[in-house]
Amino acid sequence: MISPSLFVTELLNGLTLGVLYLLIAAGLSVIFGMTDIINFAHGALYMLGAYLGLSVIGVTGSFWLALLIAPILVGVVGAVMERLTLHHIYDRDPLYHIILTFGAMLMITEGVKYVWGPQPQQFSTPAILAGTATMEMSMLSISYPIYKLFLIAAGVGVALLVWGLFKFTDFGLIVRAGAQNPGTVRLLGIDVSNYFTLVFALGAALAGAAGVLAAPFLSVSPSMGDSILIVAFITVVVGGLGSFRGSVVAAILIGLVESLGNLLVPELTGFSVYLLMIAVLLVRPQGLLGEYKVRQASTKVSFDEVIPPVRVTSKTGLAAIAVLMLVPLGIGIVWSSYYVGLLSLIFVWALLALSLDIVMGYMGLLSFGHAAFWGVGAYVTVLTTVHYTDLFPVALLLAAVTCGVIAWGIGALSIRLTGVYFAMITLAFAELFHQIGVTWSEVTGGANGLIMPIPQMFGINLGDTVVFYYLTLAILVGTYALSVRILDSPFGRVVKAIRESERRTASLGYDTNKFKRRAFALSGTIGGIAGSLFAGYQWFVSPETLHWVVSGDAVIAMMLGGMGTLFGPMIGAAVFIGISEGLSAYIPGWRFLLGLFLVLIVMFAPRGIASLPRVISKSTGDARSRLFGDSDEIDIADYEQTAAKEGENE
Amino acid sequence: MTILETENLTKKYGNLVAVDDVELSVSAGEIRSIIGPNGAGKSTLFDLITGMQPPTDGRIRFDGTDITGMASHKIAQRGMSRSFQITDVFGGLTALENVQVAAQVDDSRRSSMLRDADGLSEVHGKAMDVLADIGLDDRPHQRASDFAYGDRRKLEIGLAVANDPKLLLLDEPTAGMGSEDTNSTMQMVQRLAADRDFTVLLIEHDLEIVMNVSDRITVLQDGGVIAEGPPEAIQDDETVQEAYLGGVFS
Amino acid sequence: MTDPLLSLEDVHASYGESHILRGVSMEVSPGEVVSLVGRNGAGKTTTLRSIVGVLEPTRGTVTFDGEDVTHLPDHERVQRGIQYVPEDRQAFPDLTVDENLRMGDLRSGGEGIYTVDEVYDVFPRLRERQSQSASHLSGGEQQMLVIARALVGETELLLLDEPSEGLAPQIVRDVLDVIDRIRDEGVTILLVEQNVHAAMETADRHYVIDRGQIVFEGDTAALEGDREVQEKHLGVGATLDEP
Repeated sequence: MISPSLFVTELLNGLTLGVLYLLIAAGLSVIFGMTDIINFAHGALYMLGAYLGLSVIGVTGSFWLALLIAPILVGVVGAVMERLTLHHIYDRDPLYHIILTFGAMLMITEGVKYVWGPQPQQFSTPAILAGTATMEMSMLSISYPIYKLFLIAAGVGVALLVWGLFKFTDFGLIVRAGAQNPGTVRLLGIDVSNYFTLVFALGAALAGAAGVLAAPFLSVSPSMGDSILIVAFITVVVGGLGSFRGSVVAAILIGLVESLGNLLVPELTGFSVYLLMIAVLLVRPQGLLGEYKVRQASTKVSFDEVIPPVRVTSKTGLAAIAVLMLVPLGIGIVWSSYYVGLLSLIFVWALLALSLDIVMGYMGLLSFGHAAFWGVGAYVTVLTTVHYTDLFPVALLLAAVTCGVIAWGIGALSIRLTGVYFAMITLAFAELFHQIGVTWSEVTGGANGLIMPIPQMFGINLGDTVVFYYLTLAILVGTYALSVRILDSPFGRVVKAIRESERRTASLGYDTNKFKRRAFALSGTIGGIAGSLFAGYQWFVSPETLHWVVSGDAVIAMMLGGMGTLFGPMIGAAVFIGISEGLSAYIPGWRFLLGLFLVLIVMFAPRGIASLPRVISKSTGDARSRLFGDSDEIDIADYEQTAAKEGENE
Repeated sequence: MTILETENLTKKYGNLVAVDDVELSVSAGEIRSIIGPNGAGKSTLFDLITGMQPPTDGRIRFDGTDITGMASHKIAQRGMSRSFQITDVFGGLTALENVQVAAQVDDSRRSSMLRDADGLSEVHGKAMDVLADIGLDDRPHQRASDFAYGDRRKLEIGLAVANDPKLLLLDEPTAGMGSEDTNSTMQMVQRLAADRDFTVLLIEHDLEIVMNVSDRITVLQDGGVIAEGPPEAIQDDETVQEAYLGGVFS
Repeated sequence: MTDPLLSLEDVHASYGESHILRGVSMEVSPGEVVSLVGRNGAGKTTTLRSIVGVLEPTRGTVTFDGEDVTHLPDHERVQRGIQYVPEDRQAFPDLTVDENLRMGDLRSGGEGIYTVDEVYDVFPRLRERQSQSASHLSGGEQQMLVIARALVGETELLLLDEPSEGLAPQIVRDVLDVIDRIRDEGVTILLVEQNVHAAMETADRHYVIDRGQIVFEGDTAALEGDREVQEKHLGVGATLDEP
């Protein structure tokens, strides 16, 4: 029996969390409402707020000054970030915006580690708010930290302030109008593009304020933004994207579900929020208060040029394979076996990047959850070889099938939601698997992970560097050839058609959701194979394999190489692993450079390395004018849209 | 024989009645135009018929089946096809691939993953025929987005005829074209309809075209039908004249 | 003769490769009410969009108040006094009537033809509904709102795109009365109409546009007398080849 006192305490805990989520989700919503951008750097800005708060306290000794100054500074960071990058590429597909903010997230996170160090830090509660408040009533006897009560009040205060800002000021009026129709705002003589920057700053400042408020009761660490970002995504999915009221309701609901869920059903600790999200997706995919509309723009990825995959049987393909087959012969003569092992790792990552390219580059859905397939593939492999069979290929097959089924399931739940929704939901699903990996320790070994026996089959030791090298090479070449074939099949044609225009594909008589589910399952299967080989590479698996960093790295590798080309992401994986092996030993903050690299690629060479020859051959002047030119310029597609509207109107 | 029939078809958005109690009956083989001033509800009517939006009220019967509320891809599979006012071809695919995607929809191997899409010989043949019919067979391997506007508009129609429709809905096929392209495009539509034996439902604002190609014309105003008949009758119809010239002040 | 307030010289405009305007030239003098009439798709809206700068002409010049504004962005042209009331009634649906009007007032700093208060006197119905959101207004009321919003801004030239389209006859009357009132305030108006009778009733001078070119220019009497222009370029009558 739960005592009423405990219940009320948990209720207050839920409220505290809810208010925190509200602040984060509000910032996210404010930015999305006007710019249509889901800011993946939002968690990092929250974390930055906490650290800046720490420093302000260090200098001034005042928590109150920190609460004032830190959010302003974070707002400035947000404004600078928007002005330098997003401001110039609003006319691009929204998926590029997401990837860009992901790069910014890496840069902020690494920047913070550089300045403040990677260790968690203590943020002392201001003296006036320290201690606990106690309340005694007939049935209740509660003592509750004063700071948390303050946080609830302050959070509500900030939320009201924002509400008032939007409701009563000219700035708020223009932003609300701009979110509905920026073109009309311009027609009233207002240069609306400046407000995009201001709104970004405001959203960032809200995240910063949440960071300062959260710091005294959560520990301050560079990774504190990760979990909150995912909860914020779940909040906007549950509440309904673009609905401020929805976010408020969902944030409080999620806070309560988390705290009361832990109390009532302790077995589900850590999962209740995900279950809530899945339930909402099943029952009301548009969110509790949202109106779900497929925006044509947010679903589309289009390329200026088609870069066809290099065929395995082409000269380049055969030459590449031949060279790679000869590599192990140089062991001990030209290089050590370390480099051959490194190449195997590259092959494994190439598979993961390839699997991502199938959904993103060919179908136009951005998955930020491929860690799920990587990790589940690895776990299934390890568990199978530990418990059931010592035949590695069987484990590999099982991993592939399991991941295919999981991908199909995720697809069935969320593929109706395109564009930005899909990116958020896949991230949340992957995080769910990560949670399972950490908590279900009887099976997964928890945070310690599991060791697997040396992979082998029919007496062949697959653990041998050279044997494993050839195994991964063969699987990579085979998978690549198969993928090229599949994308050239009738099925592949339809998948590409869906990327170009889902509406048109459906109007020709195709059940597009069916094709999208299958393509996602295919991608998951290949991701599972990659994960399985990764387990075979390191003879070990841990929840690290399920961490969102893996998803992000896969996106980076794909973008580096060039999405929508199949071979590009494989090159990208090679460069990525090369950079990480080469730099990580020498430069502690190498991920900062990675983030910067990603931002630059999105800005200047969105088709990555695969397009570099073409990008370089274009005159530099051309590139300049594209970047610094008139950002209001409408592309051809927009013109046609307007042209048709014209026809409609006249 | 009646191929398409609507019964008090109605679409409301809040207070606005976009399509108001429309009774439409189109015979197999005819070219029927839908005309009307701005905001008459023509495009919305198309969206209702093709299942892209659910009607608020009323029924739609196509080729003997009640298709009200059916998903748009299912309706398309029954032989209804449409082109869009905003060119909506698969820009990143070649002209041939575009038409192939449309032509393979009836093939049993349409979702095969392992065959070569270009190896489906009937589909390939059918697609090349379509390209020849729309005059793009000289550049089958050019990306759709690299074609000139007029050619993209033709491809738009080519996509819609490649899956062998019984009924083709054309939404302003000549939008944004010069008069030369306009004429050749309409001649192409007439030829295709005769050769391939399908019925055409046409939205068009160029009245010259409408008068020349239509068997019958339905005039919409404010979501409702105000007149229907052969071109000559429509031209002489007082109500129609007023709708266009502004009857309020006459 | 005074210099024209607005002049277009050989303006071409297109959306991508879809060529809509093929050399439009016209002039509007201060205080005039001029109409631009034409059928569906003739290029009327495109002409207005080229004037206000939503669309940049590919060729030709747009001169406003003696200044070449051809390549100015739209919001700067609006700041110079060109107000555009688009046909599809771009009221902000989730803002209240009052907030919509304040949006119009923001850049004029009270320099508009009317203050928000005065504009309510012109449109008493809007005052009754000032705290309702615009999406709850009827079509006619939304049209009034958008015109009112333009009038609280600084307006030298008012571009009206089919203000009477899709409205019930009684409401059309109200809208036309309002236009009469505005013109009495000395505002220059360029009115786009599909409805030639409405155009003749409201404007002094008329341009007829067909397929992106001006095919007629003259006063009301001239247009009224020219049955051929009416039938050939505006009506449904003579579109079949005449013998």
